[in-house]
Amino acid sequence: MRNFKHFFLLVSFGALARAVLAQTVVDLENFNLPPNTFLNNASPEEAFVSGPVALPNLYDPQFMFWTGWAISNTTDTITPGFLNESSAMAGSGAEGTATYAVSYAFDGAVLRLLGPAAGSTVLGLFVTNNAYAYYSMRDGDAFAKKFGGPSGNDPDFFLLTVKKYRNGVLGPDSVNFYLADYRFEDNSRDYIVKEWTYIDLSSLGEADSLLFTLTSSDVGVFGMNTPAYFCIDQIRLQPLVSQKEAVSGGPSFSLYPNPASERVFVRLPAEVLANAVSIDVFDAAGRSVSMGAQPQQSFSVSDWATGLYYVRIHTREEVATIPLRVVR
Amino acid sequence: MGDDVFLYRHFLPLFRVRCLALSAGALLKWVTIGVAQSDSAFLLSPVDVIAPVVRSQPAGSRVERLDSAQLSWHLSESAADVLLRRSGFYVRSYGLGSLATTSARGGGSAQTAVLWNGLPLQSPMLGQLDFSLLPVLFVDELAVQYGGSSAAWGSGAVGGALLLNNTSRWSPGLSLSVREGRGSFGWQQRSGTLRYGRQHWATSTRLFAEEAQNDFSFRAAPTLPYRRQTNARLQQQGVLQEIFLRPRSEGATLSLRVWWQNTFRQIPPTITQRRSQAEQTDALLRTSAHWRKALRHSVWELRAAYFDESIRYRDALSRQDTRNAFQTGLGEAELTRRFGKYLDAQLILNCSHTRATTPAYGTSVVQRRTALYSVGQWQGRRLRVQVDGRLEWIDGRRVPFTPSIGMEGQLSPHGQLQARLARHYRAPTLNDRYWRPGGNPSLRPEQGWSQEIGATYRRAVWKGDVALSATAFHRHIYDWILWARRQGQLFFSPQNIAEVRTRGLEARLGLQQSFLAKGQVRLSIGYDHVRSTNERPVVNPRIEAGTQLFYVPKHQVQAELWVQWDHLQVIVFHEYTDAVIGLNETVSAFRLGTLRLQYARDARKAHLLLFLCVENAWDAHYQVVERRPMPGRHFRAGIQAGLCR
Repeated sequence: MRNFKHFFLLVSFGALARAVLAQTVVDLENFNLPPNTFLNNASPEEAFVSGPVALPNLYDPQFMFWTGWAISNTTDTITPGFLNESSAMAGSGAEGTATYAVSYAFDGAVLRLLGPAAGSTVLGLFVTNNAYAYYSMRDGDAFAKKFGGPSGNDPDFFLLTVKKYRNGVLGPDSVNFYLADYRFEDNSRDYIVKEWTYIDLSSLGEADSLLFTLTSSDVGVFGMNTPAYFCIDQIRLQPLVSQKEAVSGGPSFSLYPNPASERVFVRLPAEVLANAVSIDVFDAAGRSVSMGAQPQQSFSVSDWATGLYYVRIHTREEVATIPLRVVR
Repeated sequence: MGDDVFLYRHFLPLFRVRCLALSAGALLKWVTIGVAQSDSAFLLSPVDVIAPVVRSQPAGSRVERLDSAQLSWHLSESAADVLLRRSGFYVRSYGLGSLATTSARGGGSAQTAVLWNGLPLQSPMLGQLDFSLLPVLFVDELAVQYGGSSAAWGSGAVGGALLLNNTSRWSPGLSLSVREGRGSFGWQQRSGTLRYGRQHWATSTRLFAEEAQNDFSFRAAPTLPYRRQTNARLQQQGVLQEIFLRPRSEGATLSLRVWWQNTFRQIPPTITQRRSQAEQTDALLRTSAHWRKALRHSVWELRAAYFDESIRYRDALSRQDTRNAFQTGLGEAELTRRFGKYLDAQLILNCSHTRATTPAYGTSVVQRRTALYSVGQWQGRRLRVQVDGRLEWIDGRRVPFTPSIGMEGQLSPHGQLQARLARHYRAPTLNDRYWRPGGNPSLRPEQGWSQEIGATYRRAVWKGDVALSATAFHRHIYDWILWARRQGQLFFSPQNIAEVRTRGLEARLGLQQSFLAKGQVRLSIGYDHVRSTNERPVVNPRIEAGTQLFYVPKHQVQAELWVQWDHLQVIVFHEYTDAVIGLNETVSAFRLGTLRLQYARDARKAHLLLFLCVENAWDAHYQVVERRPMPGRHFRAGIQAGLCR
């Protein structure tokens, strides 16, 4: 009997796990680029498509000029200047992959979720600086200033802002990420991002597309002087799933309300005793969230940041992981 | 606007181009600016068979001339340095030995024409010229024409024109002169002139070699420590070879000229740049042939020229290596005829063919121009009136007809009045038309009208004289070409979207006196006021209607004191330039002073000259172009010796 229950739980856990870990990671490796390639022309298409993600690209053959996104696997992290617009400063793709996307975002860049993926939540993605922009900020060039200025104290910054479109409307929320920040009083804290860094976009919620914009402190009469480039890779998506589908079969652990903003209650199956339950919570990036005193059947989420969490409920015999959304 | 700065910004990465003898007579001419032409005109005997060079003496236009005696103070320098000290043109200098462009009467840097013996030198790709590459050594006469004359000189003579002339020298015998200079920051210059003449031919060779480290100390801001300029070396050589032929003493003359010059310059980092390994080589070959024949009532001139110029830009850091080049062949036929006692007319036909190559064009491009110019001049005892006009076709398309009318009248023995009305145009450059991305082959030329009125007063005072002049001008140019980015446009492209109205005032005061038999003193003060405003707003670049153009100062004041005592001459020069609006920041106003000493001994067959210059004498901390440092006080000294037989 116990083995059968175990088996059932394992199956259901597997289903749960699959459903919950059914986040998609768009790794951009589907382009099969030969080594050291910069693909900036999507014609005849108007976008580079990888899984459910479309990265718009426009190539002007008369002027050999591209805008939007390009796909790259070049590894030159040494050469400054516009000729090295194809390289990410990290030297390769994120999480050990080879390919990444480069954005020219002078007027903003859009990332679209295609077809059934529209409405998913983009949990996050990895971002880093493009080599051209990096060296322009670090050393200056003929048109853009060296960040910090001649004294080193200028409070310069290079900011990436992400917003979302849902049903044609631009949402008010935004996620800010500093690709370079020289605003610190203590200059030793000044930095320009050089490695792949994960940014959590889950707080934006369901989206049809994302809008990326760049702003800089180095602005002249022609607008932003800092080269308007950045790189992304490993886009994590959480498809739209209803709570019912996530929990299929097996003992019904569930959380209510879900989404929640104040307090969450755990509904346990009849045969599980409350004192035999322990609960761990992880946020969307996999970091553990402190639960304070061991909760029994309810816990407060009133001071948690909005977003998606995973609640892992242990009993002596089984483990279940349930996604929980915190909203305000 | 700051066209050259803009071009540097956008063209620099892809193509380097994105990228002026103090003797009594000399200062007298400098002082009697408005009167010079009329004086010489009135002194000419009416039965003189040689007709005046009508096109080069525009009536009603303000022209300031420097002859070889005045230019002798600047033999170690370029035209940029002369214009900086001797004219109301605003010179944008990018640093010691670096690029220098001009703004004449509030115009853009492509709105100053440069003519070498009547032949246009501006680059057809950029429409402008680097004035630091015009050595004064190669020039015998320099004339600064304010307001330009599109009729006479064609495209680009909108704000002003710089006329560089070589005179034919027929003095027989041999003369040789060598000059050696040394100065701060590793500056060295060596030059020589060799002339030999016989009855029917003469030759003149001028050559120079110059180098400098330009590693001057500067501070990015008064609160920051001094540091040395890096990557600023300069190395330059050039030769001007002239041959004059005159088979029969009163017959035709032929002047052949070859001007070869090679300049290597490292491009230093800006104040907001950590380092630079960029360098640029400008190579040019300019050849010309002038044939002139004077008849009883007319003069024929035929001119032919071939220019081959290139710029190579390299940057080891960003791995760039681009070469941009153009070759131009041009021919000009000119007929000047005198009709009766008072009337002169000139007719000029000009054809040119240019081929230009740069990676950004894709293939090389070709431009053909044909122009017809005609001028009529009526000269009476006290009045001179000129009417002229130009018809031009560029690649088969006609550009606006540009007429002008000017007058000069002697109101009294001391006073003169002059006025001028002219139409101007500037054709789009090859970069404007063919650059990828953005080039627009169907751009219209910039065009507009200008008006000016001036008065000059001169009279003898005690042991010398005083001269005063003032000129007021107004110019309106529309269809002004600006590289801009429209909403939703992917890249910058040149568009006829700007409109500029310029008005201003030029005032000059000159005073000269002799004293104590051996001494002479001269004082000249000049003031230039220019309000050059954008009449229409632009989104990108961000321009508000009514604002002053980028890099055009509202006020410039120059003062020069010259003292001669026996063999010694001293000049003290001081200037004030008002603040200008830059592309990223405002460039503050600055005051600059120069001290020069010259000691000259002349014997019958030899001469010796020693010179000393103190530049930036008051050690001012200043910039002319934003983010480009300028040196503090520095020195140049040298010696010149010559023989003639």
